Amino acid sequence: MRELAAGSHPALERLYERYAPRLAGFFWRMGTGADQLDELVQDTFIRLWRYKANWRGEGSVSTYLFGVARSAWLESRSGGTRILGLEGSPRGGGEVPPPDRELERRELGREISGALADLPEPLRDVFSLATAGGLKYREIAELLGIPVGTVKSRMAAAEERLRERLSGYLAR
Amino acid sequence: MKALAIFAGVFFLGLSVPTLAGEDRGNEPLVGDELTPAAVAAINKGLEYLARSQARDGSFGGYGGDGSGANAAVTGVCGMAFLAQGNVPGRGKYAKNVEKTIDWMLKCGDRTGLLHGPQTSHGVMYEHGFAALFLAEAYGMTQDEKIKKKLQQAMRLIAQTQLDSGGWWYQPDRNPGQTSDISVTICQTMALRAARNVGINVPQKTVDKAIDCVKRAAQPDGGFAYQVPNPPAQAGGGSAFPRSAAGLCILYGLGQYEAKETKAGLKFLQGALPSTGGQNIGGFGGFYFYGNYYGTQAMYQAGGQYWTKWWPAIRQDLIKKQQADGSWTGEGGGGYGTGMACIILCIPYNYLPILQR
Repeated sequence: MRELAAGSHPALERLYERYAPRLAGFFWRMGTGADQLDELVQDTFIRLWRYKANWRGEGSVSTYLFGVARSAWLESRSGGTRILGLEGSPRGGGEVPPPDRELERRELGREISGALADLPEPLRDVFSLATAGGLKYREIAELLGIPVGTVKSRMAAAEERLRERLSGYLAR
Repeated sequence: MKALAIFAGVFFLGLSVPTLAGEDRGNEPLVGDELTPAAVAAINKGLEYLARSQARDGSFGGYGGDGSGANAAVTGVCGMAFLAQGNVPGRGKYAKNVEKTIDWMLKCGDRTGLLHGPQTSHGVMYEHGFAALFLAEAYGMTQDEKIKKKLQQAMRLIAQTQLDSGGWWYQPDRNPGQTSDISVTICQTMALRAARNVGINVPQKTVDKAIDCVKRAAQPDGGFAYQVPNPPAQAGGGSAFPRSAAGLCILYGLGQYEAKETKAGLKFLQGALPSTGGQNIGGFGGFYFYGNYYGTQAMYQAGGQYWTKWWPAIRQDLIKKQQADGSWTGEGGGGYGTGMACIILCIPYNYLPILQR
């Protein structure tokens, strides 16, 4: 981040390679449609570059980066471009599964997407930052400006609701 | 559909259908006086120079030969020069040169979507604007999905780096209270317009803010000022030919035909006919190529007597200024100058989507 703040493009590239997949996962969990994930990831890096002078060298890079990502997500929502209920999660490369597995995967993806979308936003926020973002509770607390205890209880509540909603799939 | 639109535009203008790029037309003028044999010869010689100058990776060198290596703006301008004669991947004498330019452009830039060469220049948003414009024209003429994706990213960066003053500055960095530079602003807005023309979704509010910014740069004499503050303040500081030509061109491009700023701008530009003196006198300080690139497009869009008076003057002036090796020199160096001159001379071919009225 220090190199990025000094205007290094290779540093930008390294940050992208390390964090872009996690950012995409975070946005997906926050309810962004598959066709908008790339845009939001790009928006995050545009903001990171534009505001690079703001980096003070305090806190972790993850916390800072997901703070920027969250701002990008919030702005996209206020612009009315949010799309929910995508088919399946963001995929990496690899073989295409057989048709029946693909249908199953898509159905599960829709269910997960729907379950996440139905979470109240405070719970979804914490859940997405912890799972896709990989942030520690302390970092989430710092980013959202709430006590660590609140982060833990929201996380537990999110997991409980998701477990109930997806119990049919978890049992398979 | 787009190819049909291009040829429909050609017929509407009363031009005969252009033959494939690079074919020898002999000594017959294309239409009346618009593209004389001398003009066609100048274009051919200029494009040969560009083809020789192109690097193996498809790029063209730094602005002004400053030794900074590949420059995305110069590469975009030179790429557009080939397109303007009708060359596209798989068709035309310079098909391979276009392919190489596209290949380089698809790899250039960074993860924010900013298009630039290996070493970013002081005016990196200029690089971005001209490179994005090239991508839009290339996409319009090829419908290549790989170009579309890169173009969409480029548009997103433009939209996200718009200043509160409505335009853009040389760098994409956030700087609260930053005034907009009119030339950088018009460069981005041309790219936005070109992208929208070829079917890319561009936020209307971005375009509206840019139009407002350009209009607030208009000066009492019909020209345009250099820096634009936050709205609703008007810019001050006086006019100059190159940026005024650019201001008029973009107002036409965005359909502002009846705006008072457009009408006043047209009068201003009539006072700057090429080679008649005044401000359009060439030389490095005059930004001759930049000014006439925009000025000629503006007069083409205005049409009628504006075009019939302007075109022979700029055509003759450019032919006179061409060097023995086919290049044009001046501000920006051989690649930039030659690319700009060829684009201007090729306007009557009407191949570039951005020329559609």
